Amino acid sequence: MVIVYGTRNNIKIKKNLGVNICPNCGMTTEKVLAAEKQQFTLFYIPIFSHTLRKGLICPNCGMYKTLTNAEFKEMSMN
Amino acid sequence: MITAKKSKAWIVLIVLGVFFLLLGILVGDEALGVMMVLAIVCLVIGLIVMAVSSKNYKKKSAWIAEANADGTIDRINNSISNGSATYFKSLKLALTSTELVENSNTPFIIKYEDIANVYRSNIREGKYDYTYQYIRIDLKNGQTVYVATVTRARVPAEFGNAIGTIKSHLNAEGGF
Repeated sequence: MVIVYGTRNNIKIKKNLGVNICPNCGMTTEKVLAAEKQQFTLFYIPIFSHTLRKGLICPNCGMYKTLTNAEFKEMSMN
Repeated sequence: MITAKKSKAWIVLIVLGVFFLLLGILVGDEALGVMMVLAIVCLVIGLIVMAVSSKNYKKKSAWIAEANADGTIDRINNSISNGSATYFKSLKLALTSTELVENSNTPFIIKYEDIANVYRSNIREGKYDYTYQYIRIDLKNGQTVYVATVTRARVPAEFGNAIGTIKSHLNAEGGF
């Protein structure tokens, strides 16, 4: 029997933090607070997921500024 | 160096196919069926890889011949060999003092004077890419070009150096 398994990543956007200048691309974009999750899939069905990293992401270039759990919580509360 | 090279991967696949075929014949009836399947798979993939690499080689050779009509490619290759231009082998990217050359299967030349912005990007054509990272080049005419595709898990040191070199050339041009 063939078992089809694998992993799939996705980014979940938590909050929009308003207009900001990205230090990587230099564009004025809406920086977002996001969490990158990795899902384990069995026959292409997601079974469980875990958070790879949490941080600020630029929607133009996709650069991540990784935040600690405390920083992430504080930013999502404000 | 900016040259068209033929991929040799198909030879490995064809040799592997022949190996499985001979192994099946040597081992006998019980393994012949499995070995035949493996041999056929290897031979078919080998032939497909051979056809694709041959097509890419012809396409790239034609591009080089066209671009070299005014001696551009010879000039770039001379610059690389005498050290006045930098060639990033793992990125397939050549940087001269005036232009950038993408040396992939679909090569192109971009002049620094046409570049508006350059940076590393995880997003390609609006979609977040979980596997690859690119050098994104925004041109003054509004077009976007992606060069030096690398896997995010193993970004070579040359990647950062290449961005730094392009930026220093753009600063020298006075347009960045």
